[in-house]
Amino acid sequence: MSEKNILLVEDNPDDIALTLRAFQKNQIRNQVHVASNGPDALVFLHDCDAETGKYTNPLPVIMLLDLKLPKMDGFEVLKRLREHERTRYLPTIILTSSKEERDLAESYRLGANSYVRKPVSFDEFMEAVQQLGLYWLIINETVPEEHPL
Amino acid sequence: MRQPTKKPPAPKRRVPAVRKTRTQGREQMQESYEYLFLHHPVPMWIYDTESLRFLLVNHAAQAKYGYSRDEFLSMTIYDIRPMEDRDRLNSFVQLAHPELGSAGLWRHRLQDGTLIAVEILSHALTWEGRDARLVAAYDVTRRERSLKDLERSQASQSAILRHSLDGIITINERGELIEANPAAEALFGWKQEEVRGRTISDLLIPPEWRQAHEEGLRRFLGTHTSRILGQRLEMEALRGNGERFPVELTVVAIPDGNTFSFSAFLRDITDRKRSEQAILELNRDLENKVQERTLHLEALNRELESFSYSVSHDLRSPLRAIAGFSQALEEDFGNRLDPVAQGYLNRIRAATNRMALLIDDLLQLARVSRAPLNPESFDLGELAQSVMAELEENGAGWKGTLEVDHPLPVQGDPKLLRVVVFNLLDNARKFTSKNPEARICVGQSVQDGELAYHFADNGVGFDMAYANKLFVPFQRLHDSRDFEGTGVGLATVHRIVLRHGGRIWVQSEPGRGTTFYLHLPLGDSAHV
Repeated sequence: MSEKNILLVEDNPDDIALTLRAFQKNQIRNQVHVASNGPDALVFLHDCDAETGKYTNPLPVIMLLDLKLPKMDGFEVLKRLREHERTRYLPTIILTSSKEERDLAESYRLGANSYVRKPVSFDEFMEAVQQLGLYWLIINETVPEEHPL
Repeated sequence: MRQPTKKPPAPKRRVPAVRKTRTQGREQMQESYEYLFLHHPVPMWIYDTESLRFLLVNHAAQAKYGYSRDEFLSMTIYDIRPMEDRDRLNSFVQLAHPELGSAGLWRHRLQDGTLIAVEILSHALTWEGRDARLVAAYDVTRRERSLKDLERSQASQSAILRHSLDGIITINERGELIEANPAAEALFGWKQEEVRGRTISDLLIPPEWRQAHEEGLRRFLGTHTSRILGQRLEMEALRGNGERFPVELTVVAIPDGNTFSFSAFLRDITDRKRSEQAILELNRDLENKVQERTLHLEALNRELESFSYSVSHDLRSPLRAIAGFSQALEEDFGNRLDPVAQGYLNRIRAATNRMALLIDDLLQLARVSRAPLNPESFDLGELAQSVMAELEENGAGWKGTLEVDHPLPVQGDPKLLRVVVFNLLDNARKFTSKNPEARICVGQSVQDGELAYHFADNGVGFDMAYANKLFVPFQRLHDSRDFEGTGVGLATVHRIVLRHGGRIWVQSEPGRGTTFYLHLPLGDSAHV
């Protein structure tokens, strides 16, 4: 399971489609798993087999997290992520429409690795995604998972 | 009867001794008495009852009245009286008089015109065969004057007592009421006849004050010192019916022989206390209301924040979808679209970009309205240059010169003033973009006695008739085909200047350029 998967936590189908398209346009061919709300994302990351104790899903190499989500907002997801052993160091990029300072501050306080405001212009968005891809998928050395499968 | 020489001579001779002359004749006796008469210190004379002429006048009378003996002897007793007293004198001389006694109080006029009050003692006698009267005149002018003064002072005191709006009560050294004026009677609801002689401890002082009152009285009588005399005091008193009421009073001690009496001036301050209470309650109500309103405003503010938060998120997402998919359409299916369809797509994308700008500007307007103000001192010129560099980076193409005065010290919130400078310079660049020799000047000058910063450009300018619309959100003075813009920037600038307690105004002329003036008060007058 050495593939570098990406977890996209996003509820807006348009944004999902545009993000996937941006990945594709930027030659980012990593497998992208989409969770459309916070609890689904947490299940995907933390769920494990009751008998073997093994995690159900591979740990993604990065997670893109929208802040405004149904049921549980992005901050709460981030907080729970950081409380869990498996995802304590999972590189997490906040991807949101907000540029409120307090959102930015709160994101970093809760342990976000990066904060990207989704631009309206698709070109700018592409550019942002491209840089994300370059940095987090190619350059950045992530903390190795403590229990490699 | 022989008279002595005219001027009252100093007695050179020895007084003829009456006793020694007991054996001498009657004539000699008479001479001695005449001598006594003439030198008597009280002014005296004898006048003829019929003709009222002076018959004999002593030296004291001559000295007092200022007439010589001869002058006196040519006058009648009318001549030493003011005209208006003559009737009284007429009726007096016609009366039958007792042989000896007081003729009462008269006014006499001296030779120099001075009027004096005299007490007259007179005695009927026969003088050289005529009915005459011997008169002694005692000058009582001073006594009369002090009596008058006393009367006047008593009258005024009594008028004050009677008509004073303040209650005035007087007690003796034992604390017993000796006098109360009508206002005091009205205040306490009794008549002084009913209560005179009772101690005020018993009468009008509430029980808890009685001991202090009695001790104070004793201390004053012992030591002549007091902590309350002459001070304005507030305490409670009892009316005749036992009702308590608040009074304001001053007590004075009045020396009375070798003891004292005390007068108190009292005023019922029930109404004032009630008003004070009412004011207190009003203030409390007001505070409660302010608090309520504040809570309400805070709730509104939170709503507004959550609104702008939603705007920021929710309005932008569909916009992003529109922009994104129209671009996807163009990229993926562009070769199947004719130029008209391509043009439509471009319009869609341009429109979404404008709307994105508008949303951002609106959010900024909302933000500057509620962001806390953190004033600092810094240089506005340096800020202008840094903003210009940022604008240059974002969209090159402006060819012109920026002139900035140095130094340009300013006091204000650097973040918010950056928004001001950004908007003003962005506008200036925009509206000078068609001038090949564009120039923007940032500096400071005195305008109408106020120090103001100015941002002047030589751009297209505008008609001052529309100047009042300039700072209203969404109001634009230029066609968007000529100059892009959302119409929110100057509203934001205006809001920030107001929050600094300052003013902004503009001077413009079509074709000549526009100057914005900013007055920012230093110090703490900012509306935080």
